[in-house]
Amino acid sequence: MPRVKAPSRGASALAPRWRVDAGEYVTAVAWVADDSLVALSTAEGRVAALEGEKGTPRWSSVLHPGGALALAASPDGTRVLSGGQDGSAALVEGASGELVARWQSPQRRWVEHVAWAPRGGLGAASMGRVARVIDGAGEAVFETEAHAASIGALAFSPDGARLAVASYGGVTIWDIAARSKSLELAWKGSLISMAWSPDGAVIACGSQDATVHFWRLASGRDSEMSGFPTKPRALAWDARGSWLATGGSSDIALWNFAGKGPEGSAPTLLQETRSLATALAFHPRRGVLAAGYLSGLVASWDVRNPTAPNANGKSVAEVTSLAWRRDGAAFVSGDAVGVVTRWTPIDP
Amino acid sequence: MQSETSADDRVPVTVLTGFLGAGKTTLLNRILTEQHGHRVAVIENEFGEIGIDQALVINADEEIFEMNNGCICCTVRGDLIRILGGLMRRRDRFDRVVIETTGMADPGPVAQTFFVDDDVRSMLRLDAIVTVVDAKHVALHIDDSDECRQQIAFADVIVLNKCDLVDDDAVRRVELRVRAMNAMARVHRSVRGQVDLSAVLDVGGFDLARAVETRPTFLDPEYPFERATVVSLERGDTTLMLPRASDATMSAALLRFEDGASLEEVAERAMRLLSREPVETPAGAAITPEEVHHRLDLTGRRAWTLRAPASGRYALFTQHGEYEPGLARDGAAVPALETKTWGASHSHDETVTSVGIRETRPVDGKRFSAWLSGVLRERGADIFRTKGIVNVAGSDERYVFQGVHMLVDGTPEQPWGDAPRASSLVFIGRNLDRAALTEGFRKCLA
Repeated sequence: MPRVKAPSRGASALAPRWRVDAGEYVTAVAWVADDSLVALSTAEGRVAALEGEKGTPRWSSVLHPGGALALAASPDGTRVLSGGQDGSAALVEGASGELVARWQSPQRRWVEHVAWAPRGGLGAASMGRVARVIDGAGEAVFETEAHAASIGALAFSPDGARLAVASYGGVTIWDIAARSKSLELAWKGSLISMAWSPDGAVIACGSQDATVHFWRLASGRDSEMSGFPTKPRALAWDARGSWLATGGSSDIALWNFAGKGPEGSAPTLLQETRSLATALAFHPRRGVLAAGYLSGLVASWDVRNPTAPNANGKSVAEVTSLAWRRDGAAFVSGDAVGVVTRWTPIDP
Repeated sequence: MQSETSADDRVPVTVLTGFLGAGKTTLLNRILTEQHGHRVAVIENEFGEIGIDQALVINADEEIFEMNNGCICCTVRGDLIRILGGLMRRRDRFDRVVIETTGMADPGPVAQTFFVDDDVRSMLRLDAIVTVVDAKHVALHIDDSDECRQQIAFADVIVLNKCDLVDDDAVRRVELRVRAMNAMARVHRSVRGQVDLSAVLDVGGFDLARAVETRPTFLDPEYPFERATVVSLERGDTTLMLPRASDATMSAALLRFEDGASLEEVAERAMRLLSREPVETPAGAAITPEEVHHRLDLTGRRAWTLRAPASGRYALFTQHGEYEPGLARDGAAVPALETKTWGASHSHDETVTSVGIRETRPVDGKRFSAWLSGVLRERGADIFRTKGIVNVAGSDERYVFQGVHMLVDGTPEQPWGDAPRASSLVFIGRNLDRAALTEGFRKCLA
């Protein structure tokens, strides 16, 4: 069992504002309805929302019997898109939980990945090897062709005009308006996670064989980062696309994409514990990274001071998901036994 | 790879394989209905009904891909990694997972998945590969189908089903053939899938702690020869002749019976002798007793001279059982006093075989590890499963290992105590070179 080091001297305690037991493994959390609610999905199949101030349950529905696998909130917070083991995707209103649209995946394939475009109002859900792009009403705008294998991750371009789909063999980038492939980034591996930098310049993917592969879209140049003890599922870009944080290790690697870029150099390592880092999320504006670990540790790191976290807290079990409120004044964690916590970050 | 410690609360997984129509579904349904109170998740490729009372059925696309972990190459089922990950979030709800593969599936990637993905390995343990074989129809497939042979070769348990549809002799022939291919699996005959579930579930086929229990059931000891011809030879030369052969060479050895020795005792000596480096023996050359492993050249004139230093009882051991030796001296035939053949139940053309190695002398641990990794690296694609207990020099514990293709997992396990110390290894694979494997192992002796 990995030991959890005592929190670093000098690190403050990360204060939980409230803590709620959602009952089952939390698969995702997100702020919705003008950041007034925290939406979550669980392995029981539930999609629910809690009041942001006190954590009081607001609405709840077992939308995906068997397990809700993925959840994403639209940037304006009015919509929540979820997918599950029942082979369906559901779109609900963020504030009320009212069902707006719902559709079945062909052959009841699990809907494992959902995403919202940062701009433009479109969302996407994976259904086996195919991804469907929808609008705010849940109407299908575009459906991709079948990829070579089941989809491993989805990400929109910052302007919302393109959808990147990762699966075994690489990433396919689809031009939504043109309904066609605009770029194929090939790589012989099983890609399990993906993050498109907010400046649109880089796509990074975590791979089954414990590497991170990234592509610079302008030049097409790609690079591989290896040496991870296990597959890097957690990936997070900061708001400017200057930093990429990667998991797959107890040491979080911070790759500097500003200037020359990280190629050929070692990353900064954020070392605090022997427990695997399982969830990562950057502050909406600042270089502050929220990190969750297998042990339940929650830490907040300031990239300007990588020697130790600036604050530490503890959830009950493996931290599975993290989400910052848009104003950066709060973030929420979900864990593997269903505990949802709202944290107050340290003011620098 | 490391084996888990004894308090293993991981969810057991049974892989159920076999050709369409062999009876997998019948057996699966029995597992689901007879395991009262157990929640079982079934992963299959055909359309299933969602949510049978006792089971959750998940439809999967078999997605196989290669992975490279350093110099170890393996293939895995990507869809299983995702599905099992999803299932294990609710792991306190499932008591068991059954993966039913399609009729044409290669069980290799399924098995390797359980050793290669950290998330899967932390929450699930592969219990056994169970292959259902249609006793009546397998003969139609077994010679033509790689998949059929692989499914038999990979199995921990073989359920020989539909035994009511064939006569006893035919069942026996199928069973012998299957056992010859896979000496490690337990074979159970059944009718309509009626086999005791305890024979199919919680078998521990990949559990190193239980590897000590399994004894490969070779039909006969694994000798590197198939025929022994016992004769009384006079001092001097006797001519040996062999019929026309389809093989280019054949191993042979001549040994003298010591007083009161049985043929089995002489055979043990022959086995050791025939694992040594052979000496090429062209037509007309002398075959001398003891000390020499002769490799006879069968391409020219097939006659040699047996040169006996003294009169007495001798045994000539020859590799290929179908060539009956003829002996003559001074123009008169020398009759065989006794003939014994081994392995008559399977032909040379069996692509998939089991090679067993047994040795009481201890082994040098480092040399053995290097040899085994080398063998698996070079021949891993053709070696389906390996399992063994090794008597390591200087260690009080049995070294136990098991492997699927190139992925091998081993650990010291269980002290020998008073039990007789001996190494016992099995390789199950395609086109295995028994002599090379045996020779290679013997070079690891301490």
